Amino acid sequence: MDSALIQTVAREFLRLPLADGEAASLAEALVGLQQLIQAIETVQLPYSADPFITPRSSDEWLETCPEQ
Amino acid sequence: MSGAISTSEPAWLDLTTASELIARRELTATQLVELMLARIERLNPQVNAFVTVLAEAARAQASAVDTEIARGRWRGPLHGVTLAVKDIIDVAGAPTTGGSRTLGRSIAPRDATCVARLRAAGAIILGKLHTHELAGGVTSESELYGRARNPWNTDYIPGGSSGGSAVATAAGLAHGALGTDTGGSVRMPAAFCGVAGLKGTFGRVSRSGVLTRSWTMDHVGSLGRRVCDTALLFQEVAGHDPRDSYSSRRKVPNIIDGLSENIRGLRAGVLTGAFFESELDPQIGEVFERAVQTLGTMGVKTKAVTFDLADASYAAGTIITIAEAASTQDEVIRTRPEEFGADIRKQLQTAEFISARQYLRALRIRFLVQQELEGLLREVDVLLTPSSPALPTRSDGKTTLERLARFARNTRPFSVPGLPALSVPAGFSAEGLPIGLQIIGRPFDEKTILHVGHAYERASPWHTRTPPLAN
Repeated sequence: MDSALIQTVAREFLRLPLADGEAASLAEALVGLQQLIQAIETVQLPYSADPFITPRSSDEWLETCPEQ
Repeated sequence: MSGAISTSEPAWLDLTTASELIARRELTATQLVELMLARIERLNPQVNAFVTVLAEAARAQASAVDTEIARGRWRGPLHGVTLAVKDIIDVAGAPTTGGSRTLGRSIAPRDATCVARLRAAGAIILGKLHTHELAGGVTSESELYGRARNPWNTDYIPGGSSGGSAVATAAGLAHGALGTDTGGSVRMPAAFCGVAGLKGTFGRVSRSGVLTRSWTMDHVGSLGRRVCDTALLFQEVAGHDPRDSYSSRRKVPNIIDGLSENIRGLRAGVLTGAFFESELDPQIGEVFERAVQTLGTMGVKTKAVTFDLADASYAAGTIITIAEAASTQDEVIRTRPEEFGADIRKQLQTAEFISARQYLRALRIRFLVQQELEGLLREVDVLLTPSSPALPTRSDGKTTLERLARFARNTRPFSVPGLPALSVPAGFSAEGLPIGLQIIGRPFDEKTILHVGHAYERASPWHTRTPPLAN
């Protein structure tokens, strides 16, 4: 993403103020973010993969916890 | 025992020994606090671990401990010992700055639950410890407080974000400390500074009174110079707290009894594969191999295992963490972004570009990661990795997602499913910098990882070394 597009998305869509030069410096960081996103896009998700099973806090999970 | 004590030896005692000396009145809490305050005054300018020293409050607490002990009441193995806490954890009457200009110096009206529990056990709080701004980085460099320094070589970073907690413990400025761990922020600085660091299962330790970085990833952890010290601290702070909506109601067992039992016959999975090997520093690889061999000679059955979703878990953990962190700072990043340090500002701005679909995908990957790791932990009792695949670097003031990726590569994948994990000292690099061994366990089975860590510690010399500047 070039800095002009970053600036436009930030201002018009995210309502995120960026100082002069910040859009350009974000371009590199966004490349790093894209790599992370690529790593999660390659995983096949079954319909049952529930986003709101928070780690270790649900009673349902506790019942299936391996015996210790 | 009365009068000033002439050596710094009590600063290096383990928690149980220190407390027992106080119970027997061979050492008073007041003497211990004065000794520690003198050490902080002498050494903190070199390592920058403490950002707030609560000298008068600590003296008052020590006096109360001595009065109580004189009346024959000993509360247990934390009574009279000196501790300190990361500056994102509230201590009544002290500012919680989070290492950030965005928060000012507002005074906490009451203790965080974890601090209140330590106080109830008789521990003395010496002060607040350096954190990477808002617990958002790994170098413990702060525009507000400068940089915390690794006591083994002050040119190097101590790791982070709980850098001050690891430094204070390693340098003998406190007998132990609390930190927080979202993706490795207790385990990694513990490894870099040569101390033990424990993160319990998600939900075990209340985060009430602790600044939030990530609602679904944050854990409070404990650091000590001995595995048994981290266990004692954990035992005291763990347990349900209605003030934290994610707090587990599961009963906390006695994890101290049986800590010294034989570990023969336990099964350990050694994580292998490209994710764990491609970025591994060769020196760390050698240390790790020797640590695994040591466990083998103690009767632990080791076998190579793979974690196919490690890369995806790392990425999902980063996306979840920074997206949630950006949400916590939603208003500030829009109204006064200039108050953030440059690295955190950029991290939060970057996170704004994560879509809801991508965030939800990361959360759904957590479900799969839990399934895979729970399957692995039916085959073995614990998993082993180096605590970090990289050695600490010289401080250069830059935290980027790439640097996070290197240092937290082995810790974050196990934070995503909230598994308990411990880092123990396992050796040193040629440059004299510490290296850690990470032991990961089943959910709510902190006892087994502490058991393995304690046994390894007794079979190795690393925990007995102290940084030269600290003596």
